Amino acid sequence: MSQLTFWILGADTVRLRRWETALSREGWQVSPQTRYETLKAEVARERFGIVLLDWNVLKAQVPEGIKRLKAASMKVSIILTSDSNLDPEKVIDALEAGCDDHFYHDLDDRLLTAKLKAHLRRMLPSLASALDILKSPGGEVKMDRSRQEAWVKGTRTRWVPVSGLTPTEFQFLALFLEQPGKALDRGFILEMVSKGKAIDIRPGTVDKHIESLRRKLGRFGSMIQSIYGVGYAFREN
Amino acid sequence: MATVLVADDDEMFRELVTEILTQGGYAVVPVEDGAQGWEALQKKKIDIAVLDLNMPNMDGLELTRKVRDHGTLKDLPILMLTVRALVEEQVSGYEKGADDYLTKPFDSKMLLARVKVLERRSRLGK
Repeated sequence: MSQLTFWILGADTVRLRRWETALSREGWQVSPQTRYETLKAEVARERFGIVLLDWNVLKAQVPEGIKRLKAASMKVSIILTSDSNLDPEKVIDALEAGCDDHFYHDLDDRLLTAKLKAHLRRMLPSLASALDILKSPGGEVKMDRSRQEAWVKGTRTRWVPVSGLTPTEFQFLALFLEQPGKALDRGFILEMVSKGKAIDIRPGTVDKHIESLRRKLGRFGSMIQSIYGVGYAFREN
Repeated sequence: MATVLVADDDEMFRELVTEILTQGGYAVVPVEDGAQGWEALQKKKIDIAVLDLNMPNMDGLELTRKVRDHGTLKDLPILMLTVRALVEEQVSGYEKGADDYLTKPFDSKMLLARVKVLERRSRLGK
């Protein structure tokens, strides 16, 4: 995994926790902060990453705070976050001070991660691409999360696309590739796949999705092993 | 002086965006749809693209996808303009390669600030 860090500076601990969960789900390293000076010290030390900066923490000092963060590291991308009633002039002031983007606190989590991936792509294309590609440890199965495509190893080391995966099956596969070898219980799978999304999956249907995913993976389907009394684990033969 | 491609089939918006960016110090290449935009991108040196989402012939998403798949144009900063703000559409736009979104109607200073940010981010990424 990369050493890139996502810092979240905010006054609202509930929101901090929600965003930390959403970003961690992408496999990103997240550092929630409530104090600006602590954040700035970390940015100066680690130098590379994305900062979500809540306007409510610094208020009128936001433009100055942005300049100081940029002075600490030019390799940091700063995104201002605010309540929806913030005067657009304040947002423009922040953008002109060196801020790279802005969004309101009620932004949908899916949009949040999509926006952050766009920033990653711009900051370092190869890293963004690497963060989107998931590969099994043995190199037999891989997927590209942003393109929603998956492949299995074919003959003569050529990759063969896995066709017909539904969005839910795609997410199941991503979950297995993120945690190869680990036994994942049905409740955890259900929670991770459905959290914050309009997906209707009942516990009983997890098994049906797994069965369908195994079928579509062909001879690699057996890598999704049933763990009695728990759920499933992705293990290469 | 950076050059901005402005693709919008709505004449009023196209002229408005052109005027805002021209006054902001940019050279502007205005076109009426995605197909004309694609042609302009291959013939002229364009630094930033401001694309309407819904256009005839080729929409903003399709043009974005073609740009990202192109060997030399793939790093072009793209700002998408849209009257719609559905989460799924915006997520799809980012996944296809848009760098930023701005919903119509927009504040002229906000548009200019966003374009400047894209220009700055693009420079730092190189």
